[in-house]
Amino acid sequence: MHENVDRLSETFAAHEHLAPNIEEVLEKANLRARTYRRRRRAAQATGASVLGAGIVASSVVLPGRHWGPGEAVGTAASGGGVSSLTSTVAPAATPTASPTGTYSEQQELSAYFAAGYDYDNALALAGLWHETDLTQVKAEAGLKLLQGSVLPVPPNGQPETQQEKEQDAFFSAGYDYNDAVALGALWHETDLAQVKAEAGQKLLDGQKLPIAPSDVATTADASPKTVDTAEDRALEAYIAAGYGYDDAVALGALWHETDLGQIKAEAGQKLLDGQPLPIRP
Amino acid sequence: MTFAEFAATRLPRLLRYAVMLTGDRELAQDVVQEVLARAQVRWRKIASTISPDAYVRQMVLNEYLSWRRRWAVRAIHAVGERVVELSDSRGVSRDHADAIADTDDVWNRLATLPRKQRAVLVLRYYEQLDDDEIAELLGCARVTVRSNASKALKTLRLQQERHHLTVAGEV
Repeated sequence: MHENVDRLSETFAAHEHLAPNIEEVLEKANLRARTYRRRRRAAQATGASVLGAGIVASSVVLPGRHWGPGEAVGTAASGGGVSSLTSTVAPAATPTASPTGTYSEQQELSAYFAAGYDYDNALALAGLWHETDLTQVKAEAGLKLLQGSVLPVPPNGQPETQQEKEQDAFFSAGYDYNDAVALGALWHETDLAQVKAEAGQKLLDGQKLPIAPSDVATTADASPKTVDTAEDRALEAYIAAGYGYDDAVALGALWHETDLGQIKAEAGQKLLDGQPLPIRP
Repeated sequence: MTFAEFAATRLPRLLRYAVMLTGDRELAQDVVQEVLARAQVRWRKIASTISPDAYVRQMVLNEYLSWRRRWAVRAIHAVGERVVELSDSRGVSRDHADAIADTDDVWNRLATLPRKQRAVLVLRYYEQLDDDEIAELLGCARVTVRSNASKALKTLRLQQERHHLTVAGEV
């Protein structure tokens, strides 16, 4: 046995060569982080309580586009809920490449939707490419489109309208509903859809807006007492036990806590620890 | 420390750590990607902790222990990944090749351990942590760490004995 123990360190060291490629990992992590940020923004735009990236990823439903069942959200929601489907076909997208010569995931997704591809197309592509993450499929497809490649399936829809493109530019730059309100006040414009369209057009033209995009700080970021997975497990336990939003509000009143995400996490952790909660679901 | 600075300086070690935990390049990549994505989103908070590095490493450990994805335990080593294959291609001596083959054998046997047991061995013999530190990381008692280590080592020993009997034609 001692021989084995002595050889363990040597064995671990001998297999360090299996470490994945750093650049590839970082690139994919960045793509995933953008998705999480977008989902958080979307949750905020729809008034949902942001509980954590993993939870939000499975719970956000947005208006404004025809999203397929269970599809991950590709862009942030419009506070004004504008999604005009005019017959005007916008000119081809002219995305800006990053300094590294690559595109952001948002640019790739924008290119995908702008070309008229939709959820069903993503499903078809996923089947062809043996990929299950539809967001990745759309990003990959968008990248191919940006690179001038032809996808193996034709688009189901029409290319994106100019107004949709402007709104995409607005949200993908990190701006949200509150920013639109602030810009509207500056520009003396009460039609928020118009504000977002004008702001988006300025961004597409390479101009800067008079305000910086809102930060993506979330309630979950403000109080991570545990790391993500533990928090997720606690939240899942909370939900699985039949507790919901109203219960969290009631528990918050009992515990003098206002952060509903934190309340749910703490309640879930108590359930995981076998402790009863002061209220029934 | 910005996230970019963190990634530039800590990512290589983080990836090696994930490989030791998962025993698999692809799984390690998935785990680290997921953790980095989440860490990036909440980086301001993580950067404000005493040790962002320790925080992220804890995330990696937790992600490994709670990985929801079905573990597709492939044939332990893919072609070209075995240390002995790499060594053969480099023209090392036969004795050295035998020693390396032993490490491949241990590596394969580690893959059969439950995750928590493997984690204890990695933290002990790769990260060189003592049992108190491991207990804190795993959120369990020190005695549990020792128990897991004992079981893991016993399993490895039994497998080794079985392997030797098989080689000797006695089974």
